[in-house]
Amino acid sequence: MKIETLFMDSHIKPCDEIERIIAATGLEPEYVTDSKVVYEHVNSSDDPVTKGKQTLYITENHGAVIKKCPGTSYYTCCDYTILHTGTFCTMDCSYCILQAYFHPPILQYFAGQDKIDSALDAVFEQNKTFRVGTGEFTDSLIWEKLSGQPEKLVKKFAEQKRSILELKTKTVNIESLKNIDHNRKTVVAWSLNTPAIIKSEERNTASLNARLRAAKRCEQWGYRLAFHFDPLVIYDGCEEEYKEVIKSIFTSNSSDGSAGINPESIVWISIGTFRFMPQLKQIIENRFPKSIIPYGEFITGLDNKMRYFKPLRIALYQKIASFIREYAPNVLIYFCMEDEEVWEKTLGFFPKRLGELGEMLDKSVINRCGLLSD
Amino acid sequence: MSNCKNPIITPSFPARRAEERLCITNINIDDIDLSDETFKISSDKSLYDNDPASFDKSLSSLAASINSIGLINLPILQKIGSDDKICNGELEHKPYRVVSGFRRLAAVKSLISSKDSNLPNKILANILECDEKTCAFIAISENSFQRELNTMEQARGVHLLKKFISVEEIAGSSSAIFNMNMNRALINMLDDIANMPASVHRVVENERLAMGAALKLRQYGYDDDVIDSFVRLFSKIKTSLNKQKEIITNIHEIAARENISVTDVINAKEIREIVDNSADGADENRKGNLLRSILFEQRYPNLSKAKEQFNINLKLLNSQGDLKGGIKLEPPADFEGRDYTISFKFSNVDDLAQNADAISALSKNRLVDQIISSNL
Repeated sequence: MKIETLFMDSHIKPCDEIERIIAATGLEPEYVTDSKVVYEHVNSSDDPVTKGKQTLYITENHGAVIKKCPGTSYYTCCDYTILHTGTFCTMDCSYCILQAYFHPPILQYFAGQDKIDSALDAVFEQNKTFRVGTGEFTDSLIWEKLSGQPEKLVKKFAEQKRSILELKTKTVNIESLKNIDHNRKTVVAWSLNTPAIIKSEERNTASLNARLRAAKRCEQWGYRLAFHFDPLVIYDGCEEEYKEVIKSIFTSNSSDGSAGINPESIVWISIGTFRFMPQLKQIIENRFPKSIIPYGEFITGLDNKMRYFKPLRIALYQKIASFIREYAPNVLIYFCMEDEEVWEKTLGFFPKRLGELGEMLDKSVINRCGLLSD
Repeated sequence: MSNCKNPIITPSFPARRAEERLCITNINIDDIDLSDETFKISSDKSLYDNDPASFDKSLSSLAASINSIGLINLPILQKIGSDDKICNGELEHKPYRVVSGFRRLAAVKSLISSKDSNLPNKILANILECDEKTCAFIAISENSFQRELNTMEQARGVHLLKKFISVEEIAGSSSAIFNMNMNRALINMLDDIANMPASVHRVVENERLAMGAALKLRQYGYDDDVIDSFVRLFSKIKTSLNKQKEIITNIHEIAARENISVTDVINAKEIREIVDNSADGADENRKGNLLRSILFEQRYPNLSKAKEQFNINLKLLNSQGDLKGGIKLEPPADFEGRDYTISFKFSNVDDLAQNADAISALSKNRLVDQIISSNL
């Protein structure tokens, strides 16, 4: 989506990184001393979500740089750590929860690598395993071509041995990750879906094949990989289509001859069906009038989010897990925000103890990324 | 400049007092353009859509009253032009149009035109010589300070005022004009309703369709044919606002999911059998509930089946006498959680002990075990 307005905090000092971003927008920044000006600009629109995507605000992160993943009540969380480098996204997915999560949603780029570095130093000093990601409140690589931030983060993580960085994306912006000594401390992760869903629900994102080609290149550069089947969307024929997606991860691509990805390179695959805060439904209806994804068989979950009726979730999860197991029997599969019954009926076990799921994931990165254990 | 000593509250209201503009005049009734409904906001006839005889009776009663004691409140007319422009032997424009008193004038007209009438073709009326904006204010106020306006009357009033003043100004003047406070959101909603087809106005007016439900139809951006299908549907059933919204939402979502038209959903055989059932005893409330039920089954087929299965199991438990003494077993909401609920009432320790025994027996019941372990 094209950026139409650029705001910048007046006290931010120009540097190469910021100047590159400004130049790329082709816009003259409007300097502001109060973020209210930006919020009013976005809120005054009939469609604040689209306006928020067209409005870049270069600012400082005034809150916590490191956050615990908020998770949700009643469902099992993976104890993820969020590195807060920006908000919102230039891509436009109908189901994106950020449309309803931020008030108002604004595309923010947080300047100030020093602040990030010192926050990370504090994490690294703790001698604990941390799985740190930048892809919760934004896509990890939307600014990769301009900012150089991912490269700096990869190098920063390469210097220590207890934590990993996960860069989660729907882009193929990976060039700056090439030829870096990443020391296997960065996991590059792609959110995957069927071509039908990518086409109808994920505007401005890379195609499935492009994502998998990028993943293959990262694998060749020695990175560990992860995949997130989240959100899985239930529709007629979805099982066969997800099966094809899984097959295409692991088998050679007949069109370009590239080999499939080695399961040993994958630290984890998460799966989660589409779930949403109730207020997202009207946003989807207004912004994506052709989308039918809010019209699945949803019930109100225990956390008050809308979720597919549980037997439907379980049936799809069972299929997806078995498809993955066909190609990668040992890869760690986990659920993002599911309950005991779903775990047991799909994977045959449940990480019941508090923190147990996190420990499973830690163990995977300790083994595959050469981390020191606690 | 206004001579007004006590201006009517807000700046957007006319600066001069209404009585200073009114002039009581005896005019020929044929000089009034009764077909001009620019300032008509009252519902009158449309409220009797399903019972035109009652409307005629009500108008006859008013005519009889006027015939007997005369007009208590004079109609208000706007003088709209010169009364001497003649074209082809007739006045080019009738020189007066109605601001308030449509029903009274209709009654007087019926009196004059009755066979045995010897009434003159004249009527006393308050004549206004002022702009349309002022007439609009007076047209609404004349009604709103005599009785509570219904939703459609408010909507017509708002729609009329929006030709002359902004939403913010309407909000600021609402207590003076509508005899009630209106915020901007309400004003916009009312205007949305006013912009909907006349068929919707009728069902809103007849309280067949709640304003919120009408707005839901508007939100979905349906064309007039689809809206008419909904109007026909709601003309035949009775439900509350929330149930109407649920019906509209489910129909919309079934159509979207199945990639068929909304009218195809509404006109499906099983829906029509319920809605069109006019047999004796086909209570409109009951039809509404049946419609909701069938739409829910279509919208949530798997959840409906699960609920049905649970109820079958529950009946089985009841028939076996396993749920004694009014013990109730309830599943987790929408079968999402795993916590079942048992409840019972007791008034003494003996009751309590009996229920405890019955519950203890339930814990060993194979059907209960089956229900809980399948979670369905």
